[in-house]
Amino acid sequence: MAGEADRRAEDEARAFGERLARGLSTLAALGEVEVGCSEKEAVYAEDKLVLYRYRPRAAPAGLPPVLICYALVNRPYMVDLQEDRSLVRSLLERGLDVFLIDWGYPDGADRFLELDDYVNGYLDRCVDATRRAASRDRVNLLGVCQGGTMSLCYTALHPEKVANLVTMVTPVDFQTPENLLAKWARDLDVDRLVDTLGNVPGELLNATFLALMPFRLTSQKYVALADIVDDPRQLGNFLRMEQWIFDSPDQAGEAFRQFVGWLFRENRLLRGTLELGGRRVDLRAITCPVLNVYATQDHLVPPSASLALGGLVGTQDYSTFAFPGGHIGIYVSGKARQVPQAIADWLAARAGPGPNE
Amino acid sequence: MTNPAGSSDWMDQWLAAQRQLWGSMLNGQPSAAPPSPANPFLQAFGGALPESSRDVAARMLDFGESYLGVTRQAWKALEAAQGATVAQADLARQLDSLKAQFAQGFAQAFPGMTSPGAPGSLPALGPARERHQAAERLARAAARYQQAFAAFTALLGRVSSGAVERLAQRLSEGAGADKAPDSLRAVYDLWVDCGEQAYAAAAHSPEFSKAQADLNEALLDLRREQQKQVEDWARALDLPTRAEVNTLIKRVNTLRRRMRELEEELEQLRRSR
Repeated sequence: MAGEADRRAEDEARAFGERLARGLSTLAALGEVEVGCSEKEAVYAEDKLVLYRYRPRAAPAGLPPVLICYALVNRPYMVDLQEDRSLVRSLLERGLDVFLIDWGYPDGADRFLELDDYVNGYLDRCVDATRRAASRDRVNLLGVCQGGTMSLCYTALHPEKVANLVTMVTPVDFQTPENLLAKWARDLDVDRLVDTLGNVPGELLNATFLALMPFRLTSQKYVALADIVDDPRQLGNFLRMEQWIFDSPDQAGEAFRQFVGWLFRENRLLRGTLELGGRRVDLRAITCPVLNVYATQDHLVPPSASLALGGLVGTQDYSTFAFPGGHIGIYVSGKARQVPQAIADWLAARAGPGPNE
Repeated sequence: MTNPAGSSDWMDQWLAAQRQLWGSMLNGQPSAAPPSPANPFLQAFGGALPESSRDVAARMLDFGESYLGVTRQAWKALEAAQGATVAQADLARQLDSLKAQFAQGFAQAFPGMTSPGAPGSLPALGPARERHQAAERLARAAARYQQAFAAFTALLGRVSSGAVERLAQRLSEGAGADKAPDSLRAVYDLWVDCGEQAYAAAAHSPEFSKAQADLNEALLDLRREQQKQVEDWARALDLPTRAEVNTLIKRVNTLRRRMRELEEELEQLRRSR
């Protein structure tokens, strides 16, 4: 019996080695992978930032433009990674007018940018540029992850410019018990970090994210890669994801100091003590409809961190959408198409009375 | 199968090494030679691999090699747990080997953490006293970093031991209940589960968070002392220093903010007319 098991193990090991070898051939034959699939044009630019407007792919639905505010961490092409995995494309196919903020790669000249610069400066000017381009008074703001937190701040401070607010995998309560990042952040001397490094390197953030689940994220997924080496399509998908995961911009130092200090350590957004540009961010000032999309298996932004929003906003029209997956799967898993569907349906149900509602 | 890089020789050699490794294991004898490293594969394919694939290829090979190494040890531990005639000492030996594999896994998970060299000890005397003191501060910062690194590594070592204990427990339970993993991949997945469980238990603890923060602070202090020395040299050579550039950036930012405020006031005045 043991002899038979050993033979099977030997065969399995040999087959594994052969798959790795074939994998190299497949990788060599694949060529460079490309990310970002939908046509777009730049409609506004400032410093490192570019605001894009996507080309329509269906008859206009007649709704206010959707402005996607992505996180400063990682690159925004995750929302338009490839044709069959694109939040943007799905929204375009529903007739929505989609804009996206690309924050770019901050460098040393950006180290003193503050959260106020991002929210009341860049984001506000992108909202204005979107309103001008679409000839609308208000936008539908869609904030993703950290971009969702900034969108909440923005909507609280500029409610007159936001028709509807959608937050995706957005942290609101930064100190829920299962939030490992928050536990580590509480002991981090962020002042020493920023004072010493200026901008915070993207590689440092990547290492931190991988350290949340080191066995799965640094070992198991590459071992599992051997299972798909014969499928160029799946391998291409893997490579695109891999490119996105390690394409991490440095973080403007002062904004990072404030985000970690004020939000992770002091939980100011939840407590109503956050101030930007001399004005208090009061989530009760958000009276437009709010859709809160969260992922039930999210290890970066646990559901509890997002769901805290429900009791804080002033709107009477608050909805949630639970995606059965993780922080990344919400864009690229097989079930991901249900997310843009839910967003488009929700927005359509809240269509305003006219072109300048 | 052939390929443009002519790598079939490397493939054959590597596969032969794998067969040797597994053949030795199944005979219960130590391998006469370790499997050939994965890097030669990359050297052979390197020119043919697209830029976007190279990192993935390297990781796939590195972790593939690690996978076979770890599962080899775990498989032997599983055999020891199942075999009625195997002495308890054999099981303990297999588990010790596994602990070594786990330690290696943690080293791969934290690749940036390399141990610094020993600090020097310089007397602060004479006209170069200030420079000597700066060098002393640098040496002290390096020593503190070394201590913090050792403390964090020790903590990870305890995590790895805990992971092996969990694995041993799961293997023993599985063998007793006739639910032992029946493939290398199943053994490996079990190892990953046990590793993540042990790691999560530690990572959520205040002790882990503090050890990690201590390590970061020590590293930053070391970096800061290095920056000070570079600043001194730049100033001596009349080159722009980081502090001077920072001052300029702050002044530009102040001007930009003031300009925007004036633009907004101007716009409001225009609208009010």
